[in-house]
Amino acid sequence: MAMVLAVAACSDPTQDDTSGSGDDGASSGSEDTVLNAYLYQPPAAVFSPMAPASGPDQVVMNLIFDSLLGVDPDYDLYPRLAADLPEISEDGLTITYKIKEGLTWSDGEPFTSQDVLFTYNLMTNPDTGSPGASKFADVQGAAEVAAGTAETVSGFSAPDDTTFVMTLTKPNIGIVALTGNTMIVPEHILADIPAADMDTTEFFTQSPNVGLGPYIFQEYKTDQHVHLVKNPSFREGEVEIDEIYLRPVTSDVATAQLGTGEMDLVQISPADLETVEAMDGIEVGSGPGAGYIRTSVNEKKPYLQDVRLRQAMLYAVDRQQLIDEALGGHAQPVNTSFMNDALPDDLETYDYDPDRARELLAEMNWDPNQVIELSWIPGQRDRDTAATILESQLNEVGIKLQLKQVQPGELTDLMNNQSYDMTLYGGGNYATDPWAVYPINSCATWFPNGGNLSYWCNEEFDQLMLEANATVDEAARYDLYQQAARIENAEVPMIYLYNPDTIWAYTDDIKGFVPNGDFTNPFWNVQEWSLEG
Amino acid sequence: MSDLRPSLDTPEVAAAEEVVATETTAAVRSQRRSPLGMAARRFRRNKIAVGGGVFLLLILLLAVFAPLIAQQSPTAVDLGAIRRAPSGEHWLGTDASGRDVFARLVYAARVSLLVGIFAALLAVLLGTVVGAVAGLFGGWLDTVLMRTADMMLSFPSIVILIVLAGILGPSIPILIVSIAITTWPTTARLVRGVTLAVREREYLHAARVAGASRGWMLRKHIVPAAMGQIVVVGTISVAGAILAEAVLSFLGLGVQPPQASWGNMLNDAQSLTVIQSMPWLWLPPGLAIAATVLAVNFVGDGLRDAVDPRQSGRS
Repeated sequence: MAMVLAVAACSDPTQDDTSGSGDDGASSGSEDTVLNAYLYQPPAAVFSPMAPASGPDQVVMNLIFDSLLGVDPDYDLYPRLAADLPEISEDGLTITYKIKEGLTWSDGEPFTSQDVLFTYNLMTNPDTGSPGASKFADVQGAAEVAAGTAETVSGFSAPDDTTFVMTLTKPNIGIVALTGNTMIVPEHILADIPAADMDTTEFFTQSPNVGLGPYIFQEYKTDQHVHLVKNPSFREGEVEIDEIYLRPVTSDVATAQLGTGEMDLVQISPADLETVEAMDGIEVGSGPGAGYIRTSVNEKKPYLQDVRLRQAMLYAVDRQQLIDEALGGHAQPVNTSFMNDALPDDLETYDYDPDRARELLAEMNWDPNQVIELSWIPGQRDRDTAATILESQLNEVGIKLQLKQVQPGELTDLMNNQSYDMTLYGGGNYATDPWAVYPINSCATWFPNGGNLSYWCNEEFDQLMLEANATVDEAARYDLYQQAARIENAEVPMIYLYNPDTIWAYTDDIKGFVPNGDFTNPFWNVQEWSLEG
Repeated sequence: MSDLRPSLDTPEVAAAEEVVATETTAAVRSQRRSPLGMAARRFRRNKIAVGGGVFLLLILLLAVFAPLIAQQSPTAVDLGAIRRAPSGEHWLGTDASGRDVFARLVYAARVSLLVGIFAALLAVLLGTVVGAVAGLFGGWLDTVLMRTADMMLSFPSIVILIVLAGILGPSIPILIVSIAITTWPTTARLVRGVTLAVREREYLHAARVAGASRGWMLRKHIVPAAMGQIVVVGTISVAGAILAEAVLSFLGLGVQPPQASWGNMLNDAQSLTVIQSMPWLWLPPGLAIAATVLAVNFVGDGLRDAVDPRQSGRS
C-alpha cells in the first residue's frame, strides 16, 4: 500500500510550490527556499526517542530535536546542546555535562538542564516503552526505576540550569557515546503525560512541533511527505533554507526525480552512480558507513538455534561478489559488528564456500523442507537485490528461504510478536564506540528491552563487553572488545552482509553539504547549508 | 476492462435472442449450416483475430514448455554476470541479480496466463450463476443481486484490488480471486439480459408447464443460449485480468519475488540507469504484456463478430 502511494507521490501537488528546484530560476528573492529530500522509507510516525529505533523517524527527529552530543562524519562525538564534551571524573563514576546558556525551545520557553533531566528519566523508565532503558543500566538508581520501586533515577541530577550530572554505579566508558545523542524532549509539554502513555501521546505521533532542532515539525502526510519549517530559535540562529519536505519514495523514483529537479537531495544506489554522475548540475559525495546491512536470525524459533545453520548461511552467500558486482565495490565486507580498533585481524571471514555450507547443514541434520521467511521493507534497490541473492544462494545449499515484503507497521508487529524468522535491515553506529554493539547482542537487551533482534545470548560475550566498558585503560579495553568480537564472529548472531558506503547525490544549488556516512543524519550540519536557485 | 461494458449492456438482448434462435436449430446438424460452423468460418475470415489466436497459442506453448525452452533457471542468480547486455548465453541479457531475462520472461508467461485464464473463468462462472439466477427468479433477489453488481461496477476496480491485496497479503490465488471479484458483474448483467429474453419464449413456457424445474431450465436452455456471448466476455476478461496482474505486480502487490511475472520484472526495471541504458530489462516484459493483451482482445473481437455478425464494426 505504502509503495503505491509513494509512486503516486511523483505527482504530488505540493511539488508545485517548490521554488528551490532551480528550473523556474528567475523567482524573486523573497520567496521561501524549499528543499526536497529523499526519505528512504516511510516513517513509522512515532517521532519519539523512546520509540523502537526506526531510521526514517530518526531522520526526522534529527531535524526537529537536538541532543547533548552529536556524531560527525568521522564518527567522532562533538557537542551540540552541551557546551563541550562531558567531563568524566577520574574514577569514571561521574559524568558532568555543561549546557549552552540562553537556549529556548521553538515555542519560546527557556531550555534548561531540567529538560535533560526529564528526558533522561523518561529514557530510563521501561514504562515509556523505551528500548533504550538498558543503556542506562549502570546509572545509580536506574535498577530501582526498572523494577518500579522508584519514580525517578537518583543518579541523574541538575544542580543548576546549565549542569546535568550522571552518577554511575561502576565505570562505563561507552555510556557517553551511547546516550549523549539522546533527543531532548520538552518537559513543559510532556510533564503531565503518564509514562505508560508516552508512546501513544499525540505530541509524538501527530505533532512533535516543539523542539530544539533547526526545523519545526509541520505535518506528516502519510506516505507522502514530512513537512518542516525552520526554527527561528535554533541554537545556532535561524538556518538558511526555509522549508524541507522529506519524501518517502523508492530509491529508483528518487533518483529519477533528482534528474527532473523535483528532488534536491537523494541517497542513491551504487548501481546508479554512473548515471547520476553524468547528470548536469548534480554533485555526488559519499561517506563510509558505520553500521551495516544484516539479517537477524530469530533464535526464539527452535529451528534457527543451531550456530552451524547461521555459519552455513554465511558460507552459502557470496558476499564479496555481492559487494564487487551488485554494489560496484562501494561497500566493505563485514564479519563482526565491531569496527576500527575493536576489530581483530584474525577473524573467520566466511569466504564463499557452498560445499562447506552443505557439510555444516548435513552435520546438523538440517531439514531441507523447513521454510524460513525473510521479511524486509522493500524499495531500496541494494537491499532488494541482497534479498534476492540471499534467497537464491541459500536455496542452492538447501535452506528454503522465502521472501516476504512487508510494510513498516507490519514489521513492527512482527517484531513485537517475535514471529519473524529473519529480517533484513541496516544501520547503527558501531564506529564511535564499540560499546554500541552491546545493545544489539547482549542477553539483557533482547527486543523490546534493546536492539537484540536475534535473541542471541552468550554470557561470556556479555562478560567481556561489560568488563571492557568498565576498563579505563584504552589498550586493555580494546583488547577485551577484540576478544568479544572473536566470539561474535564465531557465533554469528546475525547474517552479516556488507557495510555500504552512503552515497549522496544533490543539486549543486545546495552549498555547504558535507556527506555523512550515517544515512539517518544527512542534515547533521544543515545550519551551514544554503540553497540557491 | 471497462471499455467493454457499454457494448455488453442490455441492447444486446436482441442479439442474444438471435443467438438463441440459431442455437435451437442447431439440433439439425447440417455440415455446412451449423451455427457453430458458421461462426468458425466467420472467425477464420478475420485475419487479425486469427493472428491474435496464433500468437496466443505461441505464448501458451512457451508457458507450458517453459523448462524446455528456457535453458537457464529463472531464479538462479549469477553474481558474476549482473546487468549484462543480451548475448549468446543470455539471449535477453541479465537483471540486477544476474538472472537470465529470457528465462524469466518465459516463466512469467505462465503466471500471466494462469492468472488471466483462471481469473476470467472464475469471473464468468460467478457472473453466469448470479445473472441467470437474478433473471430467472426476479423479484427482490434480482434487485439485490443486480444492485450489488452495479455497486461493484461503480468502484474503480484497481482500488478494490489494491485494498484486497493489502489486507489478504499478496499471492497468486488471492490475485485470481480478487480480480474475479471485480470483473464478475459484467458477465452477470449480460447473462441476466439473455435470461430475461429467453424466459418469455414459448419453449420455456412449455417447459415450465411441463413441470421443468428452474435448475433444469437454467442448464438446458438459458446457459446454452448465453454461451456465445459468455465466451466473448470471458475472452476479453482474460485480457483485463492479465493487465490487472501486471499492474498489481508492478506495484509490488501481486506476484512476489523471486517468482517472475511481467509486472514485477517491470518493477525491477524502474531505476534510472536501467531505463536509460538497459532496455533489455524493460522492453521484453513491456512488449510481452502489450502484445498478449492486444492478441487476446483481437481474439475476443473476432469471436464477437463470429458469434454475432450484426455487431461487426460496432466495437
